[in-house]
Amino acid sequence: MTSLVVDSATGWLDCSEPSHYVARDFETVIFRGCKRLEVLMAERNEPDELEQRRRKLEDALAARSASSKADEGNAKQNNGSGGFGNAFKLSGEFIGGVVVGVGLGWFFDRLFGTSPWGLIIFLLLGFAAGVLNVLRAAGRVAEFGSQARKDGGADDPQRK
Amino acid sequence: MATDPIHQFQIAKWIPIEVGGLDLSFTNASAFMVATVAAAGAFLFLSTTNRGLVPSRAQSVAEMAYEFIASMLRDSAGTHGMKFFPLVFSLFMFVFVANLLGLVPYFFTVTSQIIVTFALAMLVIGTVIVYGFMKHGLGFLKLFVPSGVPAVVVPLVVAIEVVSFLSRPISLSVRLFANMLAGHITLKVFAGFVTSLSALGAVGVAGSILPLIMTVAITGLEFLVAFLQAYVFAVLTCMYLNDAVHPGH
Repeated sequence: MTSLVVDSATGWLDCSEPSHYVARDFETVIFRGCKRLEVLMAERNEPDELEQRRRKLEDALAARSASSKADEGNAKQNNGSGGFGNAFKLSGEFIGGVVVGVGLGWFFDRLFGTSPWGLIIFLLLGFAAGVLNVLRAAGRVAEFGSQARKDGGADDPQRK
Repeated sequence: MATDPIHQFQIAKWIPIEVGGLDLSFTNASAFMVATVAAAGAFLFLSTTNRGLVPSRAQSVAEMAYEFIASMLRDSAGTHGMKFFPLVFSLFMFVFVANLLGLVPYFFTVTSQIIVTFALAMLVIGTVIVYGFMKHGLGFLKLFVPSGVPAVVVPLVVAIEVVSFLSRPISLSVRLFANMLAGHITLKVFAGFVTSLSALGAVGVAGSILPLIMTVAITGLEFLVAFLQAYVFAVLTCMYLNDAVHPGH
């Protein structure tokens, strides 16, 4: 129980800075206990400091869950892009672009009888699209239609 | 014949069916697709029939699969994207179980057929296009027009973006197909070394230990690839669906 520090000023249990001497699950139990404690305290008409403490606690929890999520994401990213997987991914992206370009050009030529110009132009376009795909897959170029991020509101779901 | 690494991908007609000149035979590929769906469905059904507050082992695996896909979809497409959860979950389970079944010796690997993976990818892209136009009308086309580009080069950029968009089903299907095909061929080739080397006598038997170790190691790797490719397929599906839900976001 080393993590339960009694705040000298108020005599409350101080849970805003979780210590790392206890197991993770146990910490959440303690957090939950603290929340209940604070609810009890709220009934004692001390809203200001309580509010502050609750906010502090929420911030700590949010930071914790966010960081653990980010860690998870990074781990997955690393797993997904091992050398072998990465090679397949990037080459697939590039080949996809070229193949679609050639296919479109061939189709265009058949449709309008412009052989070989459609094939030439669409092959070049496909090459460019393949390079774009690779750069996108490697994270060097912004994703599809991500222009809105620059002028804010990246998380706005209503933006169209 | 036994060591031909390509032989395992041959389609065999089990029940020939022909309707109006179309070959609709029930092949080994069809049989294993049915088996995949049956296995995935049976697992999810049986593991959730005796639901408990404290989950059993099977139930927690099923719940993990659900949570995994649900959080993936929520993270990349937002809560609006959750209406596609059944699609993404079915795709993930199908690809994953098909990959795993393919690892059983003498089983056919459905996902090593480009037409199967291409059909799955077309399903995804078709959903994106249809839903995108249904929801946003012509506003969906904004996806292809990046802002901040000088007006002179906009037609060129749009053409490149359109080709890039159309190449998505290709790269999505080729990635899964190529991974499964290459993995199974490698496995077969290394396993073939073991038999052909050990036919050479005592020295060969000693030498065949190396490819045997490789075969075991690659089998382990293939299990990882089976999961990873299903995961990648699901992640990319989520990303593409995100474009349909919020184009220009």
